[in-house]
Amino acid sequence: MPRFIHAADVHLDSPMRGLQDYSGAPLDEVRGATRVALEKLVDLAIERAVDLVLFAGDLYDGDWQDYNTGLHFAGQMSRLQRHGVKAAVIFGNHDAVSQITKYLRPPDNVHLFGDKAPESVEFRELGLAVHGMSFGRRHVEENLALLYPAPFPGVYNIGLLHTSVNGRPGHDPYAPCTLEHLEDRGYQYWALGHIHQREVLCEDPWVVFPGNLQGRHIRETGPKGCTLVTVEDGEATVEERELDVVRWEECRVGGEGCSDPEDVADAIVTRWQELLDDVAAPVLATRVVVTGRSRACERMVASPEHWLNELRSRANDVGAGRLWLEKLQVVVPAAAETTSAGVGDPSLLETLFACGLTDADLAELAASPVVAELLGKLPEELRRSEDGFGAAPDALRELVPRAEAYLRDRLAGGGEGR
Amino acid sequence: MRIASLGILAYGHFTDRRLEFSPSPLDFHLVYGPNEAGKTTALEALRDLLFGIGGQTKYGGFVHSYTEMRVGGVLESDGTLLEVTRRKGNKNTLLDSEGKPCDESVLSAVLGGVDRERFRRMYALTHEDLVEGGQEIVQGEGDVGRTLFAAGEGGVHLSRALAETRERAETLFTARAQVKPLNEALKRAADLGGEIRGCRLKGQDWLSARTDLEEAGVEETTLRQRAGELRSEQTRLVRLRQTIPLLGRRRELHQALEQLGNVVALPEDFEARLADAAGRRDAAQRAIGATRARAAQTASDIEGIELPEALLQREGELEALSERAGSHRKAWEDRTKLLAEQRTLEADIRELLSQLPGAPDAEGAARLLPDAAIRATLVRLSGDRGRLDDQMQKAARELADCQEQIGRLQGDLERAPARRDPADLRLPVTRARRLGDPEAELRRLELELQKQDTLVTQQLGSLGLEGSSACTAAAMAVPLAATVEDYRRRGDGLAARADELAKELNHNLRALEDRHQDIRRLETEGVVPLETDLAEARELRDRGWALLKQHYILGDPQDLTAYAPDGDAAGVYEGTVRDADAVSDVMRRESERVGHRAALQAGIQAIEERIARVQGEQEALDGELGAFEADWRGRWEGVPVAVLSPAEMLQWLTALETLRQSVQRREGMAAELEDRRRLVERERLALVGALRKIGETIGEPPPPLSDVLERAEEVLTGVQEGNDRLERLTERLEELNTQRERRAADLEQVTQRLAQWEADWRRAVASLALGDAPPVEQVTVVLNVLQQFSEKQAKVDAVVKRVAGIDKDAEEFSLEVGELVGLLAPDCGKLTPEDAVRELHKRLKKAVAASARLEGLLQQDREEQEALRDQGERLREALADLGDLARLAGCPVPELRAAWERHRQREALLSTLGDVEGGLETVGEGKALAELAQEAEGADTDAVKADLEALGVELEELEKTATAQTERVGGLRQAFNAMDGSRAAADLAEQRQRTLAQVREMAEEYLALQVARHWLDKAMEAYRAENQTPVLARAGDILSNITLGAFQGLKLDFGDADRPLLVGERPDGRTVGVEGMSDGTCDQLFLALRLAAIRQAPPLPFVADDILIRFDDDRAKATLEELGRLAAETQVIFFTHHRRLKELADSALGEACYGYHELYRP
Repeated sequence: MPRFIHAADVHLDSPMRGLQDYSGAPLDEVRGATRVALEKLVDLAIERAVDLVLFAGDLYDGDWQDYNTGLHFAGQMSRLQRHGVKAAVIFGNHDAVSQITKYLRPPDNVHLFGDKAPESVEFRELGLAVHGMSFGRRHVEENLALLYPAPFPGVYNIGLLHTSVNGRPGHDPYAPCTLEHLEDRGYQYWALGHIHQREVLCEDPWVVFPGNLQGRHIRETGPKGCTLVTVEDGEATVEERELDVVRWEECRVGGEGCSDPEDVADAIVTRWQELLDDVAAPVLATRVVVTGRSRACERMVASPEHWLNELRSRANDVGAGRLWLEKLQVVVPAAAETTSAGVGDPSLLETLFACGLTDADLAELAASPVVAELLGKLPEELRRSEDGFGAAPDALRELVPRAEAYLRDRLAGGGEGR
Repeated sequence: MRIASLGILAYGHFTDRRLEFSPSPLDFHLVYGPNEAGKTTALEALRDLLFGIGGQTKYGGFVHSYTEMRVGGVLESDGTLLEVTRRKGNKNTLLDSEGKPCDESVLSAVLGGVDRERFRRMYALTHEDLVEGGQEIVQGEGDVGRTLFAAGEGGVHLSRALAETRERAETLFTARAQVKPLNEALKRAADLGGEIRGCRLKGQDWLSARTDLEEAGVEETTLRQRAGELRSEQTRLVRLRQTIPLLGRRRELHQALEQLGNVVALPEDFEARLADAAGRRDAAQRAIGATRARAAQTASDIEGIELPEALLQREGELEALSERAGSHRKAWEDRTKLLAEQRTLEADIRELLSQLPGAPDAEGAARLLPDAAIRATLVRLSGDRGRLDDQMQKAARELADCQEQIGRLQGDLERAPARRDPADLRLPVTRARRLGDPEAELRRLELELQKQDTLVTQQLGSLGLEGSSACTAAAMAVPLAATVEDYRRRGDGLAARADELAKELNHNLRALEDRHQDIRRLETEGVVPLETDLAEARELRDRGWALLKQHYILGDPQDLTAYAPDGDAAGVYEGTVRDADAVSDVMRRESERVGHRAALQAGIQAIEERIARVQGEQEALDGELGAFEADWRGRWEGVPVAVLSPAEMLQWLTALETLRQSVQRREGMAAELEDRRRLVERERLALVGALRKIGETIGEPPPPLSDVLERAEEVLTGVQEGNDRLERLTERLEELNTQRERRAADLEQVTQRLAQWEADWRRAVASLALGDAPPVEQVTVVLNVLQQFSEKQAKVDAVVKRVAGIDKDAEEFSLEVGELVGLLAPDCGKLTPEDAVRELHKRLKKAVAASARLEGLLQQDREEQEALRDQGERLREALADLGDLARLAGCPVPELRAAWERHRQREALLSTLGDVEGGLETVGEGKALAELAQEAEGADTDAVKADLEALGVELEELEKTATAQTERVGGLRQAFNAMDGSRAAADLAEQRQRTLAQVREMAEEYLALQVARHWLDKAMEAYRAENQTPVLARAGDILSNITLGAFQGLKLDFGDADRPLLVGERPDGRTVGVEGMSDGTCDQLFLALRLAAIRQAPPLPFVADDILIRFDDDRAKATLEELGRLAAETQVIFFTHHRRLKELADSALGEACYGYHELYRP
């Protein structure tokens, strides 16, 4: 009764992104989260006495050059070796360009698949055969699935492949193929990697993306971990196992109709409590998104620091060392979308806000020294990545609602209602 | 929209307070309330009525609970009234006239969509807003966008918003700062990037570290093996080098022992025991000699001492006497001083007693002294007497004063006039006063009416309607201005057309003339035939030919006379042929000129055609003009005026309109004058009636109202003052009567107390024998003398007693001394007792000393005898011990030391031998002595040494290399082990991400602030573009009005970077920037801009709160006039706590022309 673990996209030592330090944040719990997740995977393998652990690509970030990461991986593989567990690894697009891959010397229980052609490894005593092929370069555009060999007779055949299949939103197409291509191979289980969101594409044969081991930013929400497969009489039982240390969740709260930001804060705390009850991971990292056009929202936008600190303080109270407030995002829709237009004579200020800022205005601002000097000093990541700012006028356009809410608050006079 | 009334029903400290804002005729309302009156409360109530009572209101919860709070009002909009009430709550807070909830939209419709915030910014202007607005203008340095925006939107927070936005952005980041948070975070992120690179491990480094370590390990092992071999050879050589000399030494020791032979073995302590016994023997012998010499000296000292026994037996008595001698001497000195004191005291007593009446002796005086209780009573009574006398005097004086005042007051009262009732007079006076100066007002109205009449007459004249009455003229039916305008346009059209035609005709005539001249010019240069000339010549020729052909060739005779009157038909024909040819030739030759002429000719024809057309059109137009004129005059039929052109008649119509307005205005004025007269008359009659009623005589006919009012006011004041005075006098009389009774009672009381005192005094002085009632002073003196006498007598008695005691002690002392001297020292019988005692004491001291010395010597003698016995015993013991030792060594006592020396020598040899053999055992490392001897057999010490040295050098080198290799391996291992998959770089990367998150957060904030700032700038610019022209023009007029012409208007100027700036224009055309305006003027500029903006906004009440505080009287008045003008368009409510404003408003707007309200704290 062979049993194996299917994992992918470990991205070892890939840092958590978007978390700012603040007093009371569970920093120690978050530190080295990807390593802890891998260690938990090894723990699971030992505890459940699995025979084989499969890694379907992307052991680490492509641009990460610290070989210590490779050593840590090798160390964990040694632990498996001491407990008689074997491992099979293919390299994904990230690994292909990594310096670490080149020098990786895992212990003997680990089989590394080559990148020239698909290889097959038969574990006769287990009744398993694994077919796999690594990425030799970052962009592999051919359909690798077509190159995979015919299944071995009399054993449970597993295909180990790094692919985006027929494309997934937010992912570049790598080793594209279709579900039919995979089914045609005649394997019993396709252990895929590359897509970070867990997904079962098909149950006969099994075609599975286990997702990554540990979410690293707010776009990787929900439970993360590996897939545990038990084969009995040629039939597989597939279980999902959570391994993540930090759970990423977005916490949305409507601020419509609220005049006091305290009420909004109370609603956020309630939502947090629900999430904390639901989530098993030790740490919950949340982004709070407040939407609505109301006095409360304007006041929150006008004093972002104050409300961020207020919510952090509340997060510390309610989270008891488990909750990290990643960001407070107050989204105030533009005036034209919500005001019931044209009752009598709208305030002149309203008219002016309605005229808005044109592309030319924003371009002019972007070119002005006060803005250009800052943009010029931003590090590369913040200038081009998905966490950063886009091209200057676009980046500024996204900030227009925030500026408007700020101005409304300032021009409300600081007198009444404050 | 206007507010017809405001009801502060339950709000703040007000209950059911209503303010009626009816136009009278201006819709301007001045609400006066002193400090604390609730002006602010009323203002807030007004706003809460319109926009709801805020949750945080401070106007509820004290006098009225929150649920009771109510503000009501009647709002008027387009002639309809809306009555609403506002309660506090979350919803359904607006109630209709029946108290039922109604929809907010009812209210927001009349408010034209203006919300609370905008109302506050735009329509409610406080003094603080004005000042802040003025500063805003100064801070904006006249920037038109900012200034207009601030004044127009009331956005007096604009400057602050802009400055705060910029400051907030700058606290986050500036390009060249080091310590701003965003700059710091950026630097931290860059630093962390460097740190990560610094602690990153390269895969290649790890691999080569592993290889290096393995290779170095192998080399180290090889080195260690070789060193082991060398070390075992070295051990053998070292052993040999050590055993060879030891074996030699062993042989020498054995030989020495044999030479020493037999020796008695002695115990270890033998030497110590021998030295001890001999030492004790010698010491005992020396001590015995010394003790005997000391005993002989002691016996001789004892014999030399003698003692006086009798003196020593009386030692105690002698010591006591010696002590008493001191006190005896002291007492004798005191006695002399005491006697002198006694004499002084006795003299004082005699002096005192002589002061008493009858000069009694001491005994008599002692009897006179009263006891202590009576003395105390006397002292107390003496003190009371003075006070009682003072009280008596004061009471009598006050009573007299009081009576005198009463007398005076009664006189005043009798003389004062009787009381009159002013009530009936007060009301008409108040009413009349409200009319101000009625006659002057009437005169003003009459004058204005006259002026208006004159104006009307003038206007009639200028209209050419002198004969008509104004009313008829005004009522005259005349064509509408629009109709006339239409005629004017049509007339103008016709005239223009005629003009055009005339011009065209002229033009064509000129052109025709030009052409003719050209032809004439051409012809002066020679005839220029036309095609028609040629055709004509040819036709002539052809007709001749046809005629001749008919006649001569066809034989059909023709009459040729007409053709050739002279009969030469051929000649004629030839002539025509020649002519035609000649024309043709000319034309061919002069073809250019011919062409020119032909063109001119054609032109002439065309021009002539145009002239004909134009003339035709002119005729038609003349007809049209005639019809138009007739039509125009027809329009004016029945109007008695010379009909002129439509344009002139338009002006005439405008003048007629002005006349109509003047007539209308005149009628209004006449009506107002009549009303006013009636009102004045009514009030005058009322006043006269009231005056007569109160008993004043008024002549017939009564004088004008102002005189009557003046008289009535005088009377009223007189009556009031008389009544007040009467009341004051009566009250005062009552007070004085009460006072008189109180004073009489006081006097009675003091008299009684004095009588009581007299009785007490008599009783107390009885024992002094000074008569029945001696005066207080006498008693005080006698008592004082008696007191002093008593004290001095007591002192005399004490001195006498003391002297007697001293004399008795001296006698006893002398007796005792005499007795002792007789017994112990008869040789001293002649000395005074004191000297004798001193001598005896000296002799006693000497005897005591001799006795002590004898006792010491006897003790010493006993101790020396004892010591001699002990020393003899110790000598015997030492001699016995020496005998014992001689027996042990088997030799006599004097040889004992030599025996001990031999024993010592043998012991030393045996010990050295043991050491040598022990050394061999150690060096041999377990090998037997024999084995060692065999190994050393034949070995050469020098050769061994040389081998060993060579080996040592080799081994040392090897060891060094091996140690170095070990160290290297250690280093390599450490380095390799350090590559343990450390998380350091990963941790730094996480830290960097956290820093980047901060950077992002702050950068977003910073950029949003920059967007906000940019937006604000743009909005102000847009507002300026849209509003500057109309608002500036109007604001300029207003500013001119309220600065009394100090400025004549506002203009745009362009400053640096062509930024439009607002400047004021002086009457002489000079411009003044805002930086050159005073604070007050800036306030006024702000106000002017605001008032101009309000006129463009939905018409809502303008609520001003004491905005004129910083205005001087003239400008305040001018501003009130301006607000009066605004009030003609929209309601103005002006709150103030300066009563002076009322006077200014009266003079600016006319006393009765606006609403005045007072607000007091309930």
